[in-house]
Amino acid sequence: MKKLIARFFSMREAGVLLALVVIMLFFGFSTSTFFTPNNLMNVLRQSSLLGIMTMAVTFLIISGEFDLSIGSTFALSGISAIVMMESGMAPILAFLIALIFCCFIGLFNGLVVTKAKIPSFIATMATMMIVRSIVLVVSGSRPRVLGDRGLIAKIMGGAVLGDVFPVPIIWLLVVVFVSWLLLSKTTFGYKVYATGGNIRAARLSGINTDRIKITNFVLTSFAAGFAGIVSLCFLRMVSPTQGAGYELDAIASTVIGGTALAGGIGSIGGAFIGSFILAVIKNGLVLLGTNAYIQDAVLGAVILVAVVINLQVAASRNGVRLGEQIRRVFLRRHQKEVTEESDTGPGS
Amino acid sequence: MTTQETVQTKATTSGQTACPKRRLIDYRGMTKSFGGVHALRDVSFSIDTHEIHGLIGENGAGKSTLIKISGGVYSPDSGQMIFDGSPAVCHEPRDAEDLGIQIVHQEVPICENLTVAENIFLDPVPPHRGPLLDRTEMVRRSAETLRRLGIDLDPRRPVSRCSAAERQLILIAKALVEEAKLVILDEATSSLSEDEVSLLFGVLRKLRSAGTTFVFVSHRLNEVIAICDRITVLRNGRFVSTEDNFEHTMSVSRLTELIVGCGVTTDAIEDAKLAIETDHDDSCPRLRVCGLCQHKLGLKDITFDLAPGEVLGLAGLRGAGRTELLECLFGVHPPTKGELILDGEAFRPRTPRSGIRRKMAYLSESRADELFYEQPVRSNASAVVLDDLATMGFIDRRAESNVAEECVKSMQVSTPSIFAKAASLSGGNQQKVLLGRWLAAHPSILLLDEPTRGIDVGAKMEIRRMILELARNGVSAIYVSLDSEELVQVANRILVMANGRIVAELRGSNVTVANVVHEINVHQGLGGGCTPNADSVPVSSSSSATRTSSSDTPEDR
Repeated sequence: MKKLIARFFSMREAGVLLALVVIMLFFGFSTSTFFTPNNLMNVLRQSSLLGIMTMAVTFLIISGEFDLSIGSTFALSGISAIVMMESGMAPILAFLIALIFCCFIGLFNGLVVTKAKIPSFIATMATMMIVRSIVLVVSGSRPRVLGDRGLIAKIMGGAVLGDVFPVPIIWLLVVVFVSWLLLSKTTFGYKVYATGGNIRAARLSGINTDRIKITNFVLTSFAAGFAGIVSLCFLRMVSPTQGAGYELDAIASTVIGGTALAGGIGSIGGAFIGSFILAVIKNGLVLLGTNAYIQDAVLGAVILVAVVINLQVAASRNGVRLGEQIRRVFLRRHQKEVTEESDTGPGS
Repeated sequence: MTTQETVQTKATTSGQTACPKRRLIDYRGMTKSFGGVHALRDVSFSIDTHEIHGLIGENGAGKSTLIKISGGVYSPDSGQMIFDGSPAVCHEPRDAEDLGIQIVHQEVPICENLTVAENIFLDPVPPHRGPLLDRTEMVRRSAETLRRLGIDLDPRRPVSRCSAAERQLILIAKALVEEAKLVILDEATSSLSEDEVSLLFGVLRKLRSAGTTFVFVSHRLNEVIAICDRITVLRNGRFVSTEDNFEHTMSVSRLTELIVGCGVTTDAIEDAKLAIETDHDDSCPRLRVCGLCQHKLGLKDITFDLAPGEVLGLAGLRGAGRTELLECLFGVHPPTKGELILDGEAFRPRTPRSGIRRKMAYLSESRADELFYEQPVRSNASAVVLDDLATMGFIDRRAESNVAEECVKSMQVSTPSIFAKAASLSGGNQQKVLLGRWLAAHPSILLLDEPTRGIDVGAKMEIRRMILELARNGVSAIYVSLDSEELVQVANRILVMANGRIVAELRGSNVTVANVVHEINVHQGLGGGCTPNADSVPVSSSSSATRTSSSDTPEDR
């Protein structure tokens, strides 16, 4: 038993899993409905859209960049698909073209960040505003209804398998599995870690770090667009203001899941659990009948606590103090670059 | 107590000190372990006032743990530290500072954007009137401290315009503003050139006679012998001995012996070098560099050949262009002009990938630039060859483990397993992993920039021996080091660089430390002038030097 516990705590995801269990137990004891199969399925379904985006965002953050534009991209894919369908395009084609639009947004973000060297926070904030504006203009700022679009709409999100599994959950599981494979089993995943962990070292080892980052931006926008279409098909409608705030939820999920904002550290499992925690809290607070206005405050506090628990577990695993672990995860670890540049400065 | 007395008599007879010595710090049975690993085991020794006390040992010998305990970063598991006659308990760095213990760390924690004075008062509370900063007072006190150190430096100058040595001195000034009794210098000279070191040592001697005690931690044994009055050696967390060195005449080999116990000796390296020196083939160079220029890096008209199995030394001061030349060859910064011929084919480096594809390996100056700290040894070892270990993008973990195991075995890396985080290894072992990473790609040219910087003597010797071993098997190497002795030890031929040019070439019996130092100093003096005339002198001398070098080689067409 002791061995089992020790093994559990040596896992990277131990901290966040512990946080999840604590939170679920809390809601389980304080409400009578939380632990019903129906409700749990509901939570999983609610976490699916955010989960899909969180997976890609995890790649991006591990490689050392951010994306604030995913909320807007999410809305763009739904709105553009529906506008195209309304003009008579086949649904499957409309979905594909909408996704291609999204990929271009990612490509644009990636190029601006890597080639023009504008910090991703600023670059993607600009994209966020531009894309949101496009969405509002294209939609005439009114919500649209999907209507009956046949089988493809069912596959993308409308169906409920065996009256139990809503399709979004299946998509989530597929995306999680593929992401896990990509990040932990392939050279691409390795290069993502290398790029975020030490970009100069990655470059010297022959890794095309710009390409890695651009790929991640495209993946992120694609995931946001994909989630947008799943959402459209599930809800059978889309509003032009939808998705606002998703970018922060996705970042919060990855961070709760143990991903370092400075890049180089993180895992798919952790991020998945992180997005699930967010969904659990939102659901639990509703079951508790909490005032809707204080939900965000609780959410904020829980994020903070979850991150601290996570860091504490990681700290004890690494045999360092909490402060040292915080420094490792949140601060730039190698300031060498700065001193070196200035060393050669006066000489030349 | 008897040793203490002999120390005192020796000190007074050698005339080192005017005032009586007393014990400043007394370590008694210091023990500290981290998760089962003993970092310090029952270490006891003492440091007197008015002395510069050397603390040496391999990486992982326990030096940094002891320093951190002294500075209040760690507390010992058992043992006691008697400071100035009374037991000292330091729970946090503040406590140690209050006692008068200051640590100057290896990594320079300095703010580029601030002035010298602002940096000096970064940590002690700056002079202020109410909430307002008193800048005049700050500058005055900084100037006074700098004067006390004998440094001619304007406190209002931005640190971004200070040299590496000046930065190091600023940190010492910072320590002294707080009236430190004991200043611990951790690898203070690792980034300084020889001239800068002697400047620093002058200041240390002056302060010693003024009553400050220093602990000098360094891997550069020559410097330790030159500056320290007594030297304490640690090995594997245990105290080995404290040696008297008041005459500064201790031999490096004796210290090496104490540090390593047993290991690779200088003789072994000389043997390895002799084995390659004889059978040299000059007829077809592995790499020929013709008129290479890189405007941004300031490289001008670089021409030289590199033979198969040759270890070519590259000497020169910081900023002379040595690192820049390696980066240019590897493709980090592509050359703007000039021709490169590699194994008989033209070669145009554009990115590091092009270097790697043509079987080059580049071990850069700082480990921080190369290591993936958060990743296990396995990922670090396989970084360069990873694409070859994958099918359809999926990494073959078994093949990757084999590469890592091979690296650990052939480089003799001491690590609990290939799954240990790179950050948990000692500096020497990290360096071995990095070298192993490149060797996994079976390179034919090694570009080595300070491959043994900041690592312990034992590992230094091992790495040098490995490089010579590789050279014997036909691998060529360009070896950059600030340490002329190291260059002379490994290189068959040495090029001296200054101001982005090759200014001299030493080969055969001319490869001596004296010659290297001489060439560096001669050309440095010329390069330092700012009149256009003075600048043109090294140009002519460089072209003549390169001309002689090419006429020396028989394959000259």
